[in-house]
Amino acid sequence: MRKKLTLVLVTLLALFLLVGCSTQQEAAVQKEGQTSQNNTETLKIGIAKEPANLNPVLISGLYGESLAGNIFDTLVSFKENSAKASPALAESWEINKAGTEYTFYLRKGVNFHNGDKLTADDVKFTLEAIMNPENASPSKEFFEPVKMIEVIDDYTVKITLKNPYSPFMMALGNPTAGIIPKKVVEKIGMDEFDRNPIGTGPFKFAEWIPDDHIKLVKNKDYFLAEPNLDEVIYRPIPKAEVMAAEIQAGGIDIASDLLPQDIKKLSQDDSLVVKTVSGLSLKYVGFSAQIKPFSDVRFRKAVYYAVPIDDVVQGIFGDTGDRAYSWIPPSVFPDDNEYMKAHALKQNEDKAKELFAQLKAEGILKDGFEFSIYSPQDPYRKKVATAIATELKSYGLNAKVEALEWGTLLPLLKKGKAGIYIMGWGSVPDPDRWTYKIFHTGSAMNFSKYSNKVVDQALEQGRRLVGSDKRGTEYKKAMRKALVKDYIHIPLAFTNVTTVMNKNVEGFEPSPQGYFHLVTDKRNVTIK
Amino acid sequence: MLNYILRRLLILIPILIFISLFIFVIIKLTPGDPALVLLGERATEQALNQTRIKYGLDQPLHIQYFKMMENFFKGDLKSINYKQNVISVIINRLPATLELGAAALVIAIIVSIPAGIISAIKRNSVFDYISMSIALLGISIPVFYTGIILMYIFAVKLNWLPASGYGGHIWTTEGFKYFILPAISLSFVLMASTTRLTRSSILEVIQEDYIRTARAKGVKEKSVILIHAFKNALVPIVTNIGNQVAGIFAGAVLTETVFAWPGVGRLAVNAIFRRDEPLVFGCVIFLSAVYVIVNLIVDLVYTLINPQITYD
Repeated sequence: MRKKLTLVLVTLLALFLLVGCSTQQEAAVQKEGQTSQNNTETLKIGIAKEPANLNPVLISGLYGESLAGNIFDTLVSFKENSAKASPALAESWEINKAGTEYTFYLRKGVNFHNGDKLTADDVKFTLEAIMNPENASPSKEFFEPVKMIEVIDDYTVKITLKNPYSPFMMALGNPTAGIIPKKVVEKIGMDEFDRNPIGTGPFKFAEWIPDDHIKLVKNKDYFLAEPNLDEVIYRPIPKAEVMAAEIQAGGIDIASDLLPQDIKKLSQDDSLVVKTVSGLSLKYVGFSAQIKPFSDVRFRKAVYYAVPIDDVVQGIFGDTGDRAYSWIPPSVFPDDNEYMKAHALKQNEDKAKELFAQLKAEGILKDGFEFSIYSPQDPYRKKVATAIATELKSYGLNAKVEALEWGTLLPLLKKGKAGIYIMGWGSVPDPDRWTYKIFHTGSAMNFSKYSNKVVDQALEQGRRLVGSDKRGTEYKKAMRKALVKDYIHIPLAFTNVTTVMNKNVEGFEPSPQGYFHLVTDKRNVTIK
Repeated sequence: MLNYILRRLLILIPILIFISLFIFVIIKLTPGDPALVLLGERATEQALNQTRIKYGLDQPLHIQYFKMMENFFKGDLKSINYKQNVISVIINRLPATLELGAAALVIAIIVSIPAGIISAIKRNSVFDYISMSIALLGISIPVFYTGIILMYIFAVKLNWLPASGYGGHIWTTEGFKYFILPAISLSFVLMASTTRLTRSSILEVIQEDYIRTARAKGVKEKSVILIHAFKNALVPIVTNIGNQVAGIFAGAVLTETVFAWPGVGRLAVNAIFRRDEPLVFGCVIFLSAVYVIVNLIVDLVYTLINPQITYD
């Protein structure tokens, strides 16, 4: 018995050591960048969250869009972060003077990953799928102005709008408008296509092991260039600390969504490169326009006066973001930061006290009034909520912080039940996409239930003025009214996108939207 | 015996019906909207309504419950997120969790039972103090912390093992190395309670008259402890291990999240976060059934350990 036990233990120990040694060697090889056993160039990207699906018609959220951007192509491209559309699946296009008719001439010889030819039918099918209420596409709103889509011939498609709509090209260039194959989707159905996508992009979908990885393999026939990478593996790693450990251990080549303290530590590692770009993302404090006392502009101003926003932003966001005064980032047309900065409120205890006293005297702010400041569970926004609650407590207000998980917070915000909330918004470089959904009456992300005629009219006018500088004036008008007259939100910080990558990764640049563009007309990511 | 087993399995039916009702109520009381989580913050009210209709979330609650039960037993209950049958989603994830749990359990048993026995024999010795302190730490330190520390030492600093992820089945070389860190992390919690329980059970048994008799007969001390004492101390230890086997599914949630492990625990947690109601429902019913069956197995194992226990 004893001998047998000893034998079993010795065998186990030997096995452990054997595997340990082989692992050590393999890990060392991995760190040198030869990320796979059979010399295939594999890029491993760590993502904080797994997307719900990879069907452009249905994707919502950054990771879905980011992955879909490598599987699908859009008619036009904004991949290199320009506000100007570049050719993609459409080689060229014409827009009539009224801005209501768009004719796209498709690139010939583009095939889907299953070998089918891309034609105008697929374009019409995709856009109609987004517009079809039965599919419940989150992007449907962007295609609301579309009146008719006509297939002129195999490679020409004409889209007629009900009225001019300036952000239309931006809607067409977003990964949520990636062109899907009509024949395949009609055959297998939308639900099946969600997790078995077929596009025309640089990488083909290969496999999806839920919560483990999503694997893409190169599309050798990609019309822009054959990708240098053979495979791309996206690994969902929910814990930021583990993401940091993985990039150091060589388990992934690109890490995102890292904590500031980890970024600092990783920047000292010689085998890694830290790249930061100004992001297209804003964090803000929002107020309810319906619930008292938040609906009273004096209360909102009092909070603005009470909280040292500059210090809060500097203390919490540090190097990961810059103080925002305007709603639209300085890099996006129209830049109104100077005006907004000049009109932003600065901390002023006396004015805060005076306004709170006025509200109390009028019975709008009741003695002992208790309220919550809502935020998601991300560490930055939770800290902002805590800082504001702490400041307001010194004015005798009973503010508490409720950092809720997304599934609980979202319905609360959608129903307009949050008095004060800390939220974020990020979008493509177009002023409409930055503003309309947040400020227009009844819009999907108008969590404040804010409604103002001047703002609504300006935003509507901004949509109609295609390609005109007058557009800028409209957005400035809307934002000035909402932010420095009504103070419905306090912009906090435009946050940066920081990516940490293995030194061996070449040609990768983080995108301001947080996308992972691997093959475009200007880049083709490779591993040395 | 067969009657007993059949009776216990029949009891499973009302238990599962009660649990299904209970979990359905909990799901519906949890704030959140599956359609909203699925479509995201950009979704319009029209799109949300369409999604609610698609998944039957617009129906009265009692109809939703019966539909969910009917679909579950017919094997047609589909996850909102995965668009697949919940049973097949769970079964796909099962090997990763079972193998991790089994590995952790084996490590825990190999370490904790000898440690508990030695601590009992050498009560109040340095070994006893050290092993009990380690056991206390094992219970107190969350897996999250242990996991990160192990990851930092063995993956980042020494570069011996992968930091996280799943590399395949445990019996493959590639898969085995991915198992080591999460299995050790998970085993800490199991180890701690088993060591303490083994120690106290042995201490209790060695006070018994039959141990004194055995010693008086001149039986060697090793035999006294390993045969006479240990065998009699086994019932509570087996109960504890049995509870842990069932609890592994729940206990693995943290380990699986930390190590990005694609198991059932992480599936259940993600289903809750995504408000994937059918999947939460399926996971809970499935895990409850596992719990009940493992308890039954533990009860049957008692009869092997102690012939005095009989269910006839």
